[in-house]
Amino acid sequence: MQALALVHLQWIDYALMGVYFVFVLGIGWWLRRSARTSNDFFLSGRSLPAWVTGIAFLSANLGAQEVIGMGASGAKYGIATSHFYWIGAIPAMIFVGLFMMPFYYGSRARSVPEYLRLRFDEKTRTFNAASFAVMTIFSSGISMYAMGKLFNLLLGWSFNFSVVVTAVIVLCYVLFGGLRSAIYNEVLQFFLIVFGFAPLVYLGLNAVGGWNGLKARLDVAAQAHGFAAGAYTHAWTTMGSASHNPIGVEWFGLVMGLGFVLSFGYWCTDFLVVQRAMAAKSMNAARRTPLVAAVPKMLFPFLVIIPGMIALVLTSTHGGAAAFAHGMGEGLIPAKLTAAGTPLMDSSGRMVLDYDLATPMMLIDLFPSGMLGLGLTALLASFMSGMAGNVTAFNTVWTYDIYQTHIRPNASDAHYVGMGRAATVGGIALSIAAAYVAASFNNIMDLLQLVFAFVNAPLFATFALGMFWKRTTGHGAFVGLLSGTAAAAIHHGLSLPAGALVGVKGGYLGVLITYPSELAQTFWTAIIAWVACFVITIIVSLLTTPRPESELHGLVYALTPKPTDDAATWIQRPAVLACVILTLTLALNLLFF
Amino acid sequence: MTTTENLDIRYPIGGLFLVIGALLVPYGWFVQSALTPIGSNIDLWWGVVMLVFGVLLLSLARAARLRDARLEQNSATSHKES
Repeated sequence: MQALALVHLQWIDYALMGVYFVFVLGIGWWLRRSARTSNDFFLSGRSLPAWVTGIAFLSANLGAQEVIGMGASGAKYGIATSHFYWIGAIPAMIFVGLFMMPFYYGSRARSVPEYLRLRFDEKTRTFNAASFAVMTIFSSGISMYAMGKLFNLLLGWSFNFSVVVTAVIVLCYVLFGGLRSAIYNEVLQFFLIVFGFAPLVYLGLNAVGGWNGLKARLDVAAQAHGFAAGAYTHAWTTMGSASHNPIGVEWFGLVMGLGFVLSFGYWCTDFLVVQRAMAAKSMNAARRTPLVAAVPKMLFPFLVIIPGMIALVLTSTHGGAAAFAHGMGEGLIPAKLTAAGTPLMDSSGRMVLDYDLATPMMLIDLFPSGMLGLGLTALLASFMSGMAGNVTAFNTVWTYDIYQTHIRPNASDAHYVGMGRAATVGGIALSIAAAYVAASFNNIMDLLQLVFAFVNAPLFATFALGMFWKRTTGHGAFVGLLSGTAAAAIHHGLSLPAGALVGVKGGYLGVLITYPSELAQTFWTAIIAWVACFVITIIVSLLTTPRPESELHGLVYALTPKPTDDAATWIQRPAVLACVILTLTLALNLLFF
Repeated sequence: MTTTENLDIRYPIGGLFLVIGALLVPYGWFVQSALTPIGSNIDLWWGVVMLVFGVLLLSLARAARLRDARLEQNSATSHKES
């Protein structure tokens, strides 16, 4: 680890961070008496209004991967990164709100795996619960590792210090107030992230001469990287063929792989986000939760992607950033260095950039003392909201779906609350351990993320069939899930992205297919997994005995009364809200076509 | 339900932004003004924006509490403390 800090903070920057810590812990302390029963601790008493759960729905997902990662993708792919929002999130968020929430909320399941238990059987639930629990621990650990590394690089803080301080703060407020405390803090963190990053976009656009200035500079950069002039500033015009756009994917793979399989698989089945909607005070509020979240989600590209795009073409004015990596890189983004200290080159002789530093370099370069403290606090807030999201989802799934089901059923309510608190401590301790594993064996993390991708890809097929086809059986769902995961692994093993080496990137079963980019391979792996799960689930379901219809009321579309869409005002009706959001998303796509 | 359990989230958020604004505005005014022209003093201007946002949230939360208190008074006859 480098000990050299890129920037030195002033007292005002530390003061702002300190104020944030005080408020975050204060919320937990204030709510300490509101988490007595398991219903309070794990479900926040199902008492929150839609705007609170909606912002938390968004914020729990707004971890480091989002703020840093989307800035990195903005620098790498340009405005086309907004596909991860406009295609890869909004339609799925609308679908889960309108069509799936009636089953999640209406069945009174306390977690997503528990819905699978109600609809199918114990084995399907346990498979989902176990893979989800392991996944949340590792993703929280990976995120902690990224944070420790980043703050070490920027501020010279020791890795141990940043990891332990943030973990202890999150631990305290989740331990005190349970899910409600996590959700309240997520709302606060959301506003902090917005207020911390909005001026970065303003100052950045000012520095490059507005949107037109940015466009002109990116046109030059696009040609230097071997694309057509508009490749970084148009979302759709270069999507006709994979080789014409920086993402390296053609439109069909993008829409089906990202927009359908991956996006619906995440937003509609991941307990991390669905838990926020389950905390809402009524069915109407639960259905509106993802819709309320979709409004800021649709505008987030401007907040998190544009800084990355600017970083690629802005010349540094700041000594610290310019001196980094011996001044080698592009725009504000430094080159990755080899062990010898020379810039790393890819197979085609281009410098490999450390894209993850795009947004942090923007903060350092454009913010004066004061705003810099706020920007870094916003970054910390994003790490914490992501971590708290993982931890609250983990303690619920552990307690209800694993502990209560397999280890100790029929204990007292107070016992399960105690177990939830213990699982919070245990979950955070395991995340810290995972962060250190990530720090010492980077490849293990790549491998784990790959395995998670295989497990997750087919999930939406299982849920869609379970909710909308009453003939689906538990055996069908279980075998379908396993086949989907196996199909993903086989497809990945038979394919390789261009320029990659056989190994963790694929090809370990022999290279039959070559994809133009890693993302194209990911999207097609997901499509194959989904189709396999869908087909096998149907075949096995038809061969096995279905459950009697009387057991499926409230769990399947055909046997559940349609939710009434009545609300106080027209804009509170989920269907109306959904139409407004879809129209606006379409308009944004056309604007940046 | 006690009032503790009914913590209006707008209080802590409003409070946070009020304090952040109250720190950044004087910092921008007294310290940054020596380094940057007033027009591009982002600490000062963004501090003002956050200060206003904080005050706005606090007054919205206060208005809601007063309204609830009035409603409770009106239906006091049927109200039972749990």
